[in-house]
Amino acid sequence: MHLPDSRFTPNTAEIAAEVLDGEAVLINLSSGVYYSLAGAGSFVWTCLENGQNCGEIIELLVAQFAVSRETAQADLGALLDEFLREKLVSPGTQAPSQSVEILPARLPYETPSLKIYSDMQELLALDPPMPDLTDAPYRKAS
Amino acid sequence: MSADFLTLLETRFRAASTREIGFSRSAEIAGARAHFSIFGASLAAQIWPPFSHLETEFSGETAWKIRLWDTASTGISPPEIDDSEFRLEWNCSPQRFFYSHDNTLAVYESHVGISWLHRPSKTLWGCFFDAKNWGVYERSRPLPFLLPLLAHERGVGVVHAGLVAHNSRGALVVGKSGSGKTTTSLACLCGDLDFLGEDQVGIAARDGEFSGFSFYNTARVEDAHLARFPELRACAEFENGEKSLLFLGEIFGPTLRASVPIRAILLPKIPDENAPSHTRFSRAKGAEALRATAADSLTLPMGGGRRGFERLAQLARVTPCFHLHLGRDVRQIPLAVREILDLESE
Repeated sequence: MHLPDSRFTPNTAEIAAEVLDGEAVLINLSSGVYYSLAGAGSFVWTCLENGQNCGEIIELLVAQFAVSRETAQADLGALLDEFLREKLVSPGTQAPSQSVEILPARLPYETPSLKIYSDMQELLALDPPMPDLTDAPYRKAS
Repeated sequence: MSADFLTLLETRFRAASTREIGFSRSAEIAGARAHFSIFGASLAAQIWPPFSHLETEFSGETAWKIRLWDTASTGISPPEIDDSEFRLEWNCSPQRFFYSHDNTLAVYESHVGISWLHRPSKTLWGCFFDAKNWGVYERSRPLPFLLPLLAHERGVGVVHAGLVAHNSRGALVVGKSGSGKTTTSLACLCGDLDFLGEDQVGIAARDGEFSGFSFYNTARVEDAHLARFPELRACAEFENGEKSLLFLGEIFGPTLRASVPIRAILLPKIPDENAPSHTRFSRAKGAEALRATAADSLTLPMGGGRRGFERLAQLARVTPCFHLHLGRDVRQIPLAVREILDLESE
C-alpha cells in the first residue's frame, strides 16, 4: 500500500521511455530489457513522468477510466510495486510540473499490466566466453 | 590524450606506408566523405569490398581519414597501450572499447587488431595483425565500433534493420532476429528494388525528415536460407559454419544505394505452412515498430543510448508502419513492398 502523497520518479538514469499511440515503451539501456504498458498503464506512466503523487493518480484514473476508486487504488499499488521491482521508478519528491490531459469521455478500463521483454537479455547471455586480451603484446605491463 | 601518442600513431602508419604499396579510395559513408589509405594488400582486400558500393571520386575534401596497416605484411606493430591512460567502456572480450580520460581518443581492440579514433580530427588509425586470418564477422563488417562512432557523431545512429528502396523512397525493415528482416531485404534486392543493407544501417533526422544510410554491402545468410535465392549464390562465399558471407557489390552494384529518405517501416513476419504464397500487408502501430527496433538496436555498439531511443521513437511517430505478412513465395515479397512505397508517395 502506498500513501496518497507518495511520489515515484521514473529512473531516468537507466530507463528511457516514450509514449506512442497510447502505448508506453520503456527500455533499460543497460540490460536491454524492455517493457510496454497499454491503456491505464500507459496513463499511469505519463502521470509519473509529470510528477503526480499516488492520490492524484488515483483521482485521474477515476476521471479518465470507467473504474472505481477502490479498484484504481489497488491496481495502482500493484503496478507501482512491479515498477519498483523492475527499478523503473524510485521514491521521489518531484512536484507536479504539468497537468495530465483528460479526455471528455471515460474510457473502458482494464487492469494495467507491465509486459516485460527479456529476449535481448537472453541473447546477450548466449554470448560464448572468449579468450582475454590482457596479455596482448602491445599492452604495457602494469 | 597526449599529442605524443597521436604523433606515434601517425609515425607508425607512415612507417608502414614505406613497406607496402598503398591502396587509396574515397567513399561516402553516412553522408560524410571518408578517405581510406591502407597498407597491406591482404588488409585492403578484406576492408574495402564491403564499402565498395559507396565509392566516390577523390576530391580532396575529406571529412574522415581512415589510415590502416597490416603488421604481417609491413612488419610495423601497433604502439604500446598504457591501460592507465584509458577508461574501459565496454568489454565483451576479446572485443573491448576504451576512451582516453579526456574522451578525445576512442580505442577498439579485438583478436584481429586494434584501432584508434581521434574524435576532434576524425582520424581513424587501425593496425591489424594478419588480415589473411579474418573470419566471417570481421570480413562482413570491418571497423566495428569506431566507424559507427564516427557516424553517431554526425547524428547518424546505427540500427539493427534492413533498408530497401523503390523510386527513392526507402522502407526500413525491422524486427528481431528470425522475424524475416533478411528474407525481406534480400527478396527485394533480387526483385530489383534498391538495397542499402540487411542487418545494420544508419538513420538520421535531417530537415524534418528521416534518411537511411548504407554501411556495408555484405550479408550473412544461413545456407538453408540461401537456397531460396539462387541468384545470390554467385556472390556467396561458403564458410564452414551455418552461414555464408555474401558480397553484393560486384553483382548488384547498380542497385546498391548510399542513402535514401525513409518513407515506411516494415515489420515482417515469417510465414507458417498455412500461409498463402503472396505477401500481404496491414497497418501497424508506431509503438510496435519501436519495440521491434529499440532493444536490438540500442544494445548494438554505438546504438545511441537515450538519444538513439528518442530518434527511433520520433521515426516511428512520423513514418507509416506496416505489418508485412510474408507469403511462401519470396518473389512476391518485393511486389508488396513496392505497393506500400507507392501508396506512401500518393
